[in-house]
Amino acid sequence: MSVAGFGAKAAVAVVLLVAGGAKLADLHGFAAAIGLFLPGRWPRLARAGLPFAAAVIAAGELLIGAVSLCWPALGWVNVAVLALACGFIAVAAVGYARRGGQACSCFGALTRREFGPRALVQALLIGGAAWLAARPARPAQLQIGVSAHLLLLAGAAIMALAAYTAAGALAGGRTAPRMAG
Amino acid sequence: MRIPVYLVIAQWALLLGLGCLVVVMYRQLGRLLSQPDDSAALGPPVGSKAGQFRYERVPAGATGLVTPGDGQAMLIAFVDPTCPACEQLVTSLGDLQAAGRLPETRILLLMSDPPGYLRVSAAFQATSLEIGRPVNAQEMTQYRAEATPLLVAVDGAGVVRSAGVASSPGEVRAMAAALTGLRMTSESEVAL
Repeated sequence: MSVAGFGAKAAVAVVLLVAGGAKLADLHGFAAAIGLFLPGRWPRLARAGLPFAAAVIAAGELLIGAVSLCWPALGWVNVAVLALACGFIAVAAVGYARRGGQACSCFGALTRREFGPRALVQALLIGGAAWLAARPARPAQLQIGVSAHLLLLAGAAIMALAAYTAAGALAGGRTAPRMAG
Repeated sequence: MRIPVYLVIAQWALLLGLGCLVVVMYRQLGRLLSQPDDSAALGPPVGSKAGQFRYERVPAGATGLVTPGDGQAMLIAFVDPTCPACEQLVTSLGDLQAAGRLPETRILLLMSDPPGYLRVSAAFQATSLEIGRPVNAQEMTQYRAEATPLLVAVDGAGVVRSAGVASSPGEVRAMAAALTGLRMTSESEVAL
């Protein structure tokens, strides 16, 4: 893996941390975005489980992003990141085809991105970076010490917390008028 | 001491990520703060022609078409089951209709939440009013439904007579009066 590969790996991990943290701060909005992909006559029980599914997906993004960033030598994480990125591409493509113009909540309330060509390009870029990061590397290149693991873990936590706080503040600012009257 | 290349790159990625986060936050906050008065910007301008739009009936799923100007006055309520004030609006509209205070006026509740969210609101489950979800977001841009609850009154000629936030019976009466003012007598106002 080259320097570009390392960069891609770290960048995708950071994107996952931001996306996961921001989604956790606006679970209702993300659950609504997931609901767009369910058929109209989906069982009520499944609908009621949307917030739980949203929380699981957001937490999964956070976990995979943190492990990918802090334990770079773990090969299976690259596969997990690539699978997640493929999921993003599939969702963006289907959303563009069927739900164009509707909010995707890809980064919670941080952005107002909707399903469309820009969201699809964004997903493809993440997929490309994940593919680049999944290419084999010499283990020695990715060996870091315990202190480095802890340092990166602290950085990942700060990043996720910052995204969570920012998205939470923005979500609150947007939803406040909804309660007007 | 030699610092691993990956560690340097990862630190830079974190730093750049935080920087991007700050920029995004700053831009979004700027947008939020630059809206001088959300309530004033809500809804289509009074006097403008209301646009035609399609909607999906909830929970039936069939597609309907709203064509303002077909001779029938309309009250279009933008509401969501997850919004407490919207439940009050739904109840107010239902009461008004049940009392016969909105004769010859079609009432349509438009929600953006997924249909499954109906179950979280007793008011939505109990109402007999027509509920739908817009099919195409583009068709709805003219209505500027940036927040809920929003009520838009459209007369039979398709002209917007009033639009704004409403939830209490008094607010709904005031907005409905823009449509029914000529028909509504002072007695009926007292009765309401």
